Amino acid sequence: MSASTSTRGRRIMSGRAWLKALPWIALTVGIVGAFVVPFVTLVVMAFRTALPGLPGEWTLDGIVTAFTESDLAKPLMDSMIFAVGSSVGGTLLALFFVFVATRTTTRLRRLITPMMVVILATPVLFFALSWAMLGADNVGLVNKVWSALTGSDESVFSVSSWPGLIFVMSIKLSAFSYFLLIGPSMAMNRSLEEAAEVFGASRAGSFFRIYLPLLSPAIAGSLLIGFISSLQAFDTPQIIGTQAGIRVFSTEIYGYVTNFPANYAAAASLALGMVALLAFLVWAQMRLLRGRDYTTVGGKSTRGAAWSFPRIGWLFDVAIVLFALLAFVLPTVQLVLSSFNTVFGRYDSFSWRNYSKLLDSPVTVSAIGNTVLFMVVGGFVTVVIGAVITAALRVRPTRWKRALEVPTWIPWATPGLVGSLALLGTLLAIPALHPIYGTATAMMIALVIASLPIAIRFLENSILQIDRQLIDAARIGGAGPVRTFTSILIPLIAPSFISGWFVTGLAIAGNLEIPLLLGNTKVTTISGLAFKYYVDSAAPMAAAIFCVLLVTVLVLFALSVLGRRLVTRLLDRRTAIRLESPEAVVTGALLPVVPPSPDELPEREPALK
Amino acid sequence: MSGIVIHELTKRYGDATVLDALDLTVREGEFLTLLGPSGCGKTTTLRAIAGLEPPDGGTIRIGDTVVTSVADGIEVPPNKRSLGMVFQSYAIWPHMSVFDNVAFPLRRQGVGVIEVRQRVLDSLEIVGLVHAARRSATALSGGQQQRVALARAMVADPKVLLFDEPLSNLDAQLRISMRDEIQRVRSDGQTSIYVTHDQSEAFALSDRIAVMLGGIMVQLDTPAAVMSRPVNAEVARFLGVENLFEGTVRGLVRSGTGSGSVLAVDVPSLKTVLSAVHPETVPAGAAVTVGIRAGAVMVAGAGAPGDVPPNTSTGRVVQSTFLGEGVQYRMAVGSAHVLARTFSGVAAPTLPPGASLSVTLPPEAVAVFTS
Repeated sequence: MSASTSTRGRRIMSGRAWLKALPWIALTVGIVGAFVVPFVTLVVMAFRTALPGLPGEWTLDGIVTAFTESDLAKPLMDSMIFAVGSSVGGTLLALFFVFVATRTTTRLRRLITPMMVVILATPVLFFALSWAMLGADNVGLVNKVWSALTGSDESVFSVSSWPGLIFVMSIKLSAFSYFLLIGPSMAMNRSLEEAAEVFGASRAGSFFRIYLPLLSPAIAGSLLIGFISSLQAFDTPQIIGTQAGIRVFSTEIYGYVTNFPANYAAAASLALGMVALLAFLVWAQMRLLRGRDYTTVGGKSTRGAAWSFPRIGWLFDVAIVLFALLAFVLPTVQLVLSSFNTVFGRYDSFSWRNYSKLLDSPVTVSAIGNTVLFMVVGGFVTVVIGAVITAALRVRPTRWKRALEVPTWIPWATPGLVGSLALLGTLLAIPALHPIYGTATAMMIALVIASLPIAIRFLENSILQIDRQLIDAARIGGAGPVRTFTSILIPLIAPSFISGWFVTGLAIAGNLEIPLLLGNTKVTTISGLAFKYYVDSAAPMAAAIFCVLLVTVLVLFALSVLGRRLVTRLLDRRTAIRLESPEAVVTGALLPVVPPSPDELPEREPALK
Repeated sequence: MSGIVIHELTKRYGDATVLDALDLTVREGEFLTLLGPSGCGKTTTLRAIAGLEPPDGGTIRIGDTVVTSVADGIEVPPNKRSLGMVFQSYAIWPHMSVFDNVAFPLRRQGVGVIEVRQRVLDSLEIVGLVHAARRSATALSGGQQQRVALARAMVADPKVLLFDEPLSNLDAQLRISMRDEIQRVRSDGQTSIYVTHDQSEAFALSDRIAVMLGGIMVQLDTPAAVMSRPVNAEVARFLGVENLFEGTVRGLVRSGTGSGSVLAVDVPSLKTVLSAVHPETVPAGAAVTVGIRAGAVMVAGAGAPGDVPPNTSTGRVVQSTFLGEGVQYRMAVGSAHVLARTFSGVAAPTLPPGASLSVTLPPEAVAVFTS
């Protein structure tokens, strides 16, 4: 059957057929170019003496340097401590808040989910940068307040330490874990725990014997995802960890690239090792999350009573407030206060000097412009491409479409820094790309590629939920694939399209690796600039430019909410009109045909008297 | 001593009062059913007895122990009440084997390993699931899960057994066999409270039935009494009395002898005056509701020979429905419809719509509700 089809396909592969195949060829080329080529370049980089594109020789030196150098044990050890510590910390925090939110009558429990949404949406760079300042020895707000309260000169907390590093990473990871755990926790049939109580278990017994074991698949998934995210993390270990002498894989790779002389082969080799490890972990994670099925057979899930803790219940409220303080209130206060002071560590001489300095610098102004451009245009392009890929490859998968989809998963196993390194190598290796090297265009393309997985993830639910018959109906009605995409699919997913646009834009704005590796002193983004200011010991300037970013994000967020509301209202009105038209009521929603003439209308059944 | 005494039990959710000062005494060893439509407060009562839902007012005593007293701030946690309970959703722990599920209550009591093994296997034997002891609980069918739940509820031989609509998730056939199962395995000394909205379950299982409507217990009586004499029109409607009509008492036809007085009730919608047997006398002029089950209505072809019994009117068939075991007629009588169900052999061939017939409402089957 398939053989005969393909023979026929080959015979008529002319003119119109080519035109039909063109979008598929373009898609294949695009996916291969964006995901496969950079990956291959990375592999090549690992075996070359010189940068890709430059004359050099094939060598194993990079591999040898990266994996035999005596102190590889140190980054390996540090990476493990960091990843284990952060994933455990994040999961424990999440577990606590999931329990409070879904199982207790704590007064502030409804604040937890919005709080976690904010943390999830906030770029990692925010937490890294703000806590690096907040927890700085002597000059950070935490230690300043401590000194003011106690008169002691000793610092009470230094973020540049193992506890500090793991704590900051745990904050961000807790939001990930929270949303992984809250679904299973809410879906769990409450009578399972109530049964344990009735049959003699105390609350603690019911928690440890029933609640935790039933949640264990989700907890394992959360630990693994936390571990993977920590291994991939760059911002936090670079900004906070390196000051404490903590060196993880990603900071080592960055060191190989930025130290003089740069050792791209070693960087690429280490990156490949990381990708191999992560690929295994991602595979394990997918298996694990698919694995054990604890759904109970039969029975309605009863909404059981939440537990009230009359004696210690207030502690939960305190924990929620404390976490909100640590996670974003204090960091924001630190950034805002520092941005109005020219000397880091002083919080009393307010002025606009940092901001006016920012506006006077053409690099800063262009960085702000770039960021807005990347967020708006880059975000839009990313979401459109993401929608095209999802619609083309996921809605009706075949073996070929699945194979073509595989490369789009490469970024999940690739740390941002490694991806940036691969893209940098690609730019250098392909002479045709040299003209755009160092330009905003190159940076935007790189950001689009790096953010594509996020856009796909965000859109896939709404696209895959669309009833296929709606698409089929458009095709039968005479619309081609492009027409179907623009006039049926996109309008149907419009609200999530706009949200996805904002979320992708946010990921682009928070990306630090690409501006660091592909940018330069003239072309960068706000994140790149904030990092540079911070590293150059100009923390107040870093705070100021980051505050600019926060305001920009808030404005764009408001715009996206407005846009989403507008689109929803437009869609609603359309639906309302459809439902109000009398023929729709008479003939039923399934057959919106030509309105029947009045004499054809069936007589209404007389109402029962 | 394991009777249950509930006094002025009150529960509110926001502005809605789910239980309004409920008083109820369950005798030791009795099987009592809380019967009522959804939202009547029966499940809340059961959960309050179990300690799963702290009430807003009232006291609960199990045996000699006060387990809940809002005024005194007493709220014994569920695990200290020595109960057995069968949950609506079975609540079989999916991460444990069948054996471990049933063993749970014994292990919490610190029973020794050998005894646990023996008692669990005994319980599984009773419900016919010994062969499945090592299986994962999720691998069982709904009916088997229900049996595990039953075994778990009874394994520790609790003094009080609670059933929260245990059969509502089973299909009709399984429901009947599980109902018999519950009756079979329950030992006589166990005080049992059973919550359901299904009257056939209630009638089949209970020593007494407490009918609850809108958070208030409206009737507490034996199944037979509840069936034959619903306390008011609402209970009658809930119990499925199909024919209910407004009327006014004309007077006494015959005063109380034996089964009660016979009242004459003017029912305008039927354009007739009905005689009805009622245990008490009701003053003339009182507004009442009269009710009769469809199965008690007698139907005969018009012009049938013999004496005309009391309460007979002429009606016209509006709709006839073949029920398999019999026929259901919807008939126009006066300005109202009367529903009648006949059983095979009782009535002649099914009468078509439009046919006229004589409809008899036997006085002893007509209930009079004064409130």
